[in-house]
Amino acid sequence: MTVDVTAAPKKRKRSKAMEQDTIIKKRTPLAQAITVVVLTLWIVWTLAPLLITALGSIKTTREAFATPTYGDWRGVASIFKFSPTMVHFERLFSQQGFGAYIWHGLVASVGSAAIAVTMGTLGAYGLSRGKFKREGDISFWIISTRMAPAVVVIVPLYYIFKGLGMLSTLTGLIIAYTTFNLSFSIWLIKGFFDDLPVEIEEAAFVDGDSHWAVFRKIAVPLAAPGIVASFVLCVLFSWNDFLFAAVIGGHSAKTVPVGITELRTTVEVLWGPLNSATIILIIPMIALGILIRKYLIQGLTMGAVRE
Amino acid sequence: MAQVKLENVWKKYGDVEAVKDLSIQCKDREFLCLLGPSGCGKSSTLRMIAGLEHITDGKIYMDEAVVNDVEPYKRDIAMVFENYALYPHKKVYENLAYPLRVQKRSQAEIDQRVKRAAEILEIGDLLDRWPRQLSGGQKQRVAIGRAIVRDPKVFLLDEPISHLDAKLRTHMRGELKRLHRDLDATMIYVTHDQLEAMTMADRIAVMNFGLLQQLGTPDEVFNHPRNKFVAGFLGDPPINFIPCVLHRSSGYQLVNDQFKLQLPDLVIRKLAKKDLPDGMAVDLGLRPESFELFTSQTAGTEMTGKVYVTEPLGEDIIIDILLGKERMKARTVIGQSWQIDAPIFMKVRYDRVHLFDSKTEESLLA
Repeated sequence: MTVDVTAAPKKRKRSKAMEQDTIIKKRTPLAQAITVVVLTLWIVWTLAPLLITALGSIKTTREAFATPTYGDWRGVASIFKFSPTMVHFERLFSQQGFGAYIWHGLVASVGSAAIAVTMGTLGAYGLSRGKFKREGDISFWIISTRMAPAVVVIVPLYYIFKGLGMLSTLTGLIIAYTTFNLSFSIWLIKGFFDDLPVEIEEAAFVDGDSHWAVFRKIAVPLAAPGIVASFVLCVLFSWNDFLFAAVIGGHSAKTVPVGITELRTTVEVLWGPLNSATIILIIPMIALGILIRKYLIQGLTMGAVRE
Repeated sequence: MAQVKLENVWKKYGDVEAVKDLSIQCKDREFLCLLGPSGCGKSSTLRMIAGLEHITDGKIYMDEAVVNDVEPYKRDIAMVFENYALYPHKKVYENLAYPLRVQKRSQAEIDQRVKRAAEILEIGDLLDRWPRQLSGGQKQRVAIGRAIVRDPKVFLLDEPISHLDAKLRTHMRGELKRLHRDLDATMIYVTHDQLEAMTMADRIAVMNFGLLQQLGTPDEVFNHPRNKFVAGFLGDPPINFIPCVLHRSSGYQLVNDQFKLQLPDLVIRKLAKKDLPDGMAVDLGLRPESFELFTSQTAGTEMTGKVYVTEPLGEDIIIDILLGKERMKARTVIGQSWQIDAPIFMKVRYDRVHLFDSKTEESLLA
């Protein structure tokens, strides 16, 4: 009864890591070399465009297009030779109006994600815990709204929004995103509720909590990793979206992806600002990506119930 | 504290009848055990009392009030779940304090009650831990602690110690029984372990296939089982059933191809009232403790078998005996040397025999 288990969870993690070590050690040197080479190539392949874009965003146009003479392999290093400048970023905000685009993007994505996650959490809990007729069909119907690509619905949506007078408004854009985000968040969060042992909620119920209190004080905190993950994914979807923003958002609710297309003018392609805008678009996504990873890994229910 | 009464309660899951026409009364301050194999409806019954399952038909009373449609949180019950169901996102202290926080008690009172419960269950040094940092036995204590911090009308316990290891289980049996006495509480306890029921309960309700088989004190259900199921479910090693034919030619005789037992007056007196037909098929129920065993023919031995195997248990020894085609177990104190395949002579202790109608499986002596 008096076994000391304070360090138990940490130990468990460590032992898992050790297991993995042993598996890797069993590999032959050749297999390991191949793994390293393949992974290195893959990293270069995926990260090189990002690096060039990032560097291009803080170079002058002349520096960005400077190429070494043919056959001069050491000249590759010259892509790192430049004096950093913020001129492209300044131009984005002063001439191209990107401040507003970022704002629109933020409002539309966070607003839609908030609505989708709030309603999604309620809906997911209902689907996960409630027992009602044709529950499976309803669940399927909800996910089926995500099966067709967005392009399929964009024309009817355009006419609906036109009829409602919501074209070129942020509200319209939020609603458009929510139609897609809601079904997604219901399904994602439902999975987390399904994994929660029902007894924990029953215990709270018996301890004197009403249905609503059990939902608020037990179910939601325990499904929090899923709810946060779903929120982040909804934000990413909307922030990243071009189609809805271009068609529904129109002129007055432009977001960053739409703004980027305007940097290709009839006269020239504004490569410097284009690179800067891309970086602006990517940074929040990377930040949120790191955040979501942390939340998805978290297993809050571990150890509360006999396994 | 309160009494709980079930009146003709039914529970159906679709076409499956989990609980059939159950009527039980749990008296105020009683320790009532619902005992039965898995799937017998005992957990469904407990969950209906808790309000976690809808009642298909019948009525459940707490004190005088019908609680069929009362939500669990308004029933003033405390429940300990089989898998403990601690709140994983709250530390042990907050787990214990939870029912009190719901009732909006003052912090001082919460503190005092949590400390008191922790003291009773000896978990005072765990209050600052997370549930995931506890061992099974500790979690179980916290789960019980969460039930006893307040004074509910009824405690409901759903196999709370069945997942602990054997030693801890034995310890907790005593602890729970003492807790019942100290709290002076009404407790309904679900278990599939007859030993738990026998040792702890004031009364046992034995269930099978959703039907109440017998309700009585441990002594009643053990020594006066109403049917074959109850007799077979209680006792370890289980009771031996030997098929026989009842002859009434000269007094009452039990005849089997291996033996012929002349029933004494003590048994006949109970049978006489029933007017049983001659040649009726019956099952003789003999608990492992209901014989005297001899290595050689002795005056009064009525059955002869062969030692199949012996299982010494330190103090006692369990002997598997082959009686014709039947296998039976007998328990006796260790001392004599029992040789495998050697003949063994048995003398039945008639004050301990049970007789069941082979067809209806009902007891003929009840």
